[in-house]
Amino acid sequence: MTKSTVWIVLSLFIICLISAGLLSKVYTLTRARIELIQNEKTQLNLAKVSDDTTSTQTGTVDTIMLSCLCRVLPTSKSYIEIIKDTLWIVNDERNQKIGIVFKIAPQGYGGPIPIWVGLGTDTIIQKIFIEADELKETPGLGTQVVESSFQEQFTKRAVNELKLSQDTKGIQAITGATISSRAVVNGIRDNIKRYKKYLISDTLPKAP
Amino acid sequence: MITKQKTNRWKYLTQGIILENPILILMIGLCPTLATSTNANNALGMGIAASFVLICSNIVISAIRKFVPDSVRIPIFIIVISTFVTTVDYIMQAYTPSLHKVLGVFIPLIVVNCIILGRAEAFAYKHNIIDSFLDGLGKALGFTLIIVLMGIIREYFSKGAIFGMIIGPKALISNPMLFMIFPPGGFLLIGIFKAIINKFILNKEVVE
Repeated sequence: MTKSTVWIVLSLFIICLISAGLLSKVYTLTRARIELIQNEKTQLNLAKVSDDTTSTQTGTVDTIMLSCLCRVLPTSKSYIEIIKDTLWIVNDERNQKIGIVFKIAPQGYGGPIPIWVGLGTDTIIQKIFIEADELKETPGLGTQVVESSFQEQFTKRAVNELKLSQDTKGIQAITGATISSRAVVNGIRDNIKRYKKYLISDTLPKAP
Repeated sequence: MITKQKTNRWKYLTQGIILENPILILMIGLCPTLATSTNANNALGMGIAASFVLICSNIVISAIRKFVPDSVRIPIFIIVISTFVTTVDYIMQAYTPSLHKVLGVFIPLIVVNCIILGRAEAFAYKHNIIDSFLDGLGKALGFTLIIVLMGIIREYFSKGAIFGMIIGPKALISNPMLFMIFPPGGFLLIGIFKAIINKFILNKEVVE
């Protein structure tokens, strides 16, 4: 083995060693923050609520859940989870039922579109919220469903107004993203029909 | 001699911006340019990330050039570049998670960005640290300038907004030129830029 061959191997080895050392340093410096961000994201996305938190209404998970619900029903103060991670009955601060919130994920163009829907007791939509993080729609087209100009169209709509149309009577589809828009509108409409029975007050369990 | 060196250095810095602009004259690094310039914010993020890697790798490669065996220089360049790219990747994940999500695979792909590898091979491997730094800075500025300019134009025509602020006329917002965010819009824009620069800058240079 000549001297130059040794040096070739050695120089590669040294470079890799330095690189690995530097990267492990950077990794340890940023790891805490990356994990923090990812945890926050999963907690907000999944909003996993264990069964007993519904009765106690306290704890951090509970607060996160409430902040999720407040995005679509702003006056939410407490809730009862009816179907895990899917349907909640929501009360205001006087323990009066103000509506239900449900989370659906209809199939869009590139994948499921996660939507939160806040439905008032009069079966009028209070607000919808589409999660941007897990969206797999075409960038620049389908992803426009997360924009407030699209989502605000759903505010104060009754179920029979939920259809795509050219004028303001219905929901205006996003240009170039008809499939995504239709998925959102149809998903919300079908699920309102499915869940609106939970709004009828006598069939409901009273809030604790 | 000293003045000559000074003018040379000034040239290394300024050449990259227009006369040796990586995108428009050298025609390298087109892939990330087309893919991430759909809006001004992404373009700026990509420009900064690539600039950081380009400048740092130019400096380091120039510093180690005398120890690097000629036969394994390319693997060593790639290790150096990928170290910086991974650093950028971690930092963006920790501090700008939303931008990191949008740019996605284009951050790791900076490793094989031909601007960076090209400058390492063509310049930094043959020049001293200060010259390499200036060359990296110049090319980085040229790259960032063009990619941000493209981002601004594409965002304006496709959404009527710049950096997310809506400023376009109403007619444009209700009827945006959607093709500008698609690849054809990007190619068209690069073609227009290239035509302008050929007409006004290259010709002038030849006459001089």
